[in-house]
Parts: sequence; C-alpha cells; structure tokens
Amino acid sequence: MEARAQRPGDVATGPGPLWLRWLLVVVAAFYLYGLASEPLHKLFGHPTPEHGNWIRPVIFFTQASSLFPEADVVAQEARLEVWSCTDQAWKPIDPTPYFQIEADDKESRLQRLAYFYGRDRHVLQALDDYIRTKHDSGVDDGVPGKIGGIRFYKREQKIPEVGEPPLHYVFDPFMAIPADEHKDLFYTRMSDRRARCGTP
Amino acid sequence: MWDALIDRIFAPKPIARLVIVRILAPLAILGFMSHRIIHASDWLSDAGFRVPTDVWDWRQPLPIPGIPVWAAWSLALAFLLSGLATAVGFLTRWSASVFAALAIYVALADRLAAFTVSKLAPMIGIALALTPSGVVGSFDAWRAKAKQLPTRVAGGCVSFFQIFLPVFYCSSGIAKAKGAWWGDNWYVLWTHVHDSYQTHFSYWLAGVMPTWMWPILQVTVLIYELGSPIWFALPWTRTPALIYGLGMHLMIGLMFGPVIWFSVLMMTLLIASYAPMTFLERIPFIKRINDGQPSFAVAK
Repeated sequence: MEARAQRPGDVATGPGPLWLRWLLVVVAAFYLYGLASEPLHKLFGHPTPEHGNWIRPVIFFTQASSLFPEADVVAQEARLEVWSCTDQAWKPIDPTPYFQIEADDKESRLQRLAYFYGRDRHVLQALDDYIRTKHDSGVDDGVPGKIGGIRFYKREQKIPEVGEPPLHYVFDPFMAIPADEHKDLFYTRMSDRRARCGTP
Repeated sequence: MWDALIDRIFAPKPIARLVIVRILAPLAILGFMSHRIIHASDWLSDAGFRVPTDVWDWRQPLPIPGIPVWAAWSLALAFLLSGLATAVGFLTRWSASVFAALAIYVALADRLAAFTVSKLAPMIGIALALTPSGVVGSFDAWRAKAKQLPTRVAGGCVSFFQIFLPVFYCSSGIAKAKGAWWGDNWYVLWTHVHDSYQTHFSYWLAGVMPTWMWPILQVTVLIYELGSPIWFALPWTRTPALIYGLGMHLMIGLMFGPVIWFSVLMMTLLIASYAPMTFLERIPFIKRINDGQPSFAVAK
C-alpha cells in the first residue's frame, strides 16, 4: 500500500548532494552496529573492549539496549544520615532538598550515586562536603543545627519468593529499618566529625 | 535478493511516518526530561552535587564541570524550546540540531541523571535534523504556503527507524538471554517489581497474578526481542509484532513508574515505523499529509 505513482517533487530528500547522503547511511550503519556490539560481545563470549577516554563519550550513546538483564536479589534504597553536633548522634535526613530530581525513586541522582560510586571514597567525600556546605546554608532537611558529617548507606530488603506477598515500596527517609537491612557505604570519620563540631 | 533488500530500504516511503516521529518523539523525550528541566540548577549547575571531574572512567564518560545557575536555567529552557520547536516543525533543521546538541550535552554533563532515553535522544534529534522531517505537517510548511507537498520521503529516512527497532530489541534480547532470563531464573520480572520503580498497578499485579504467568511473560518477551528482526521483516508477522510491542511497552509503562517515558518513546517509533498506513490514514492530519495537501488550514 506504500507504493504510488510518482509526480515531480513528490519525494523529499535529505540535505546536501548524493555523496553526503550516502555518507550519512554509513554513519547510521555504524551507529546500529555500535548499538548491537555490546550484546554481541556477550553472545560470543568476548570481553567488551576497554575504550580510550576520548572515544568513550561516543560509545556511551550506543550502550543503551541492555535493559534489566539480571534478576534482583534485594530491593535497594540509598539513604543519608548526618551527624548532629547538638545530639552527638546520627540522624536521618530527607535527601530531597539535596537531590531534587525524581527524589522518591531510583532515578534520583542520590540512588544513582550509590549505584555507581557506592564504594568510591573520593566521590563520597565530595558528597560529604556537598551535604555539609548546603546544610550550613540553611537547607531544611529535618535536622536543625550544625552537622559534623554524613553516613551513607543502603537499605537492602530481600526479594520475597514468588507467590509470597510483594514488598510495598514507600518513600519515607525517616522510617526506621531493621539492622540486618542496613549496609554501610560511607561515613565521616569520628576525628573529622569531632573537629567539625568542635567537640573534644 | 541483495537488490530486493536495497530496494526495500531505499525505495521512497510515506513521509507521514517521519512526521509522526518528529512530533511525538521530542515530546516523549521532553516528558522524560521534564523532572530534570524543572530542577535545572540541581541537574546541571555547580549548585547541585557534581561528581569530581578527576573521575574519568566508564561511569563518567566525559567529566564536565557544573555551570553557573543562570546558565543551567538558560540551557534547560533552550532544550525545552528546541524540543517543542522540533515537534511543531518550526525552523525544523535548526531546532532539531540544537535539540540534538543539547541532548548530547545534558547526557554527558550529568551521568547520574542519564538513562536510556537520554542516550537515544541525540540520535533522534540528529536523525530529524538530517532528514526532511519538517517539510510537511509543520509550521515551516505552513509558512511556505505550498499547495502541493511531497507525500513521500527518501526511503533511508524512515528505514533508519524501522531498522533501529529490531536492532535495539534483538540486542536487548541477547543481553537478557546471556543474563538471567534464559534458564537461570524464570522469575526475573517478579524480582523487579519490589523497588522504587513500583507503581500501584505493579504492586497490585504482583499480588494477584498467578505465579506461572511470570515465566510465560518472561519467555514471550525474550522470543519477541530475540526474533524481532524476523517478526518485523516478514509481512505477515509485522502487525502482530507491532501489537505485541505496544502491549509490552504499555505494561512496562504501567509497572515501572518513571520508565513510562521510555515506553512512550518506543511506542512512538513502533507506530511511526510499522503501523499500517491504512490505519494511520484514519487520522485526518496524517490523511492530508499522505494526500499531499497542507496539514493546517491557511486563513483566507
């Protein structure tokens, strides 16, 4: 049904001369190959090659098709606590003022931070600095007064067996969680917390 | 056979298919980006959290420092306007080019907020800029006041999206099959409905769906994705594949909250690429495009 009699000017074409449009066909073919290449490496058991820094941004845009390939074992949620200088204790905070995008689901930048950099002390020290600086600027996160540092951890809930009642996700950063679901990722050292709070 | 394949790819195709992508794909991308755009300073500026720029590895493909707050808001506004301009076909080649360039920037500038839609957005923007997507059904066409418009487009412009879909699905199917989906765990889908992607619908469904349905859903998704080059190549399986794909994305959108925009984008590409023209022509706007008539009434 898509064929019809041709009249002059009935077929619109892309920009530029014919050779340029053929070049675009080649570029499109490379893109489609890039899209398929990572799964193909897995299919044939080849390790995905390490790419140099300068080609990595291009490769990044082709690494898009590996969606949900593995089963979850636990339902994860990253959480933040701060060290209250007044109470000398860890206090949970609402991360929303610090990470405003999709704050209540795993597309939050905080959740992604835990996913990508959960074991990277260098990046998490930057998180410590960011939270402290912003808290000192007067952000209302549920903890008044000065803070000495952060504790960043994950809540890991075991996925129930199929047929059992499903877990019901509720975003509540202040909700207490069982100790066996608490997995520490990072916390500010005691010496640093004392120095920042001015406590002996 | 080679000649037939080349002819199939490059023979002119209805331009209405390209117009559907031009109108709906940028809107789906902007829907996904809307949460980021309204928090532009948190997203792109140095007022939000930034991963240190000395981290440059697979997690952060290009370290880009935060920009001033005013620049972040300006950039987000430009991104929004360029996407809307592309959708309505206003200076289409330019607006789609700007849209693609900004989509590349925002995906690289904040890896933490980049997902599949972020990675597909530049490809779609570039494709719309480099094809004659704005010559009909657009503000540009209305301004030109042409009486007789092209009804078809050089085949590669539409074939690119038609080939993209099975390549994407088949790649996704291979990743799933080599992951846990085939033989390792027949309840992969069940394991994904308990975290913060959960919606009221997925929570309800997980509670009432018979346990034997999960492996059936899983296997049919796998067969659909792995076989998609065949399903979309053969004329007699194309429409069933389209219907299955739309149903699959509808379920994904209903079950995994924020993934709805990815679903809308993929459904757009599916409809634009593979919906029968006899069906699409029932929409008056598409019918006028397919007849070569101006899509918008010109005031007398």
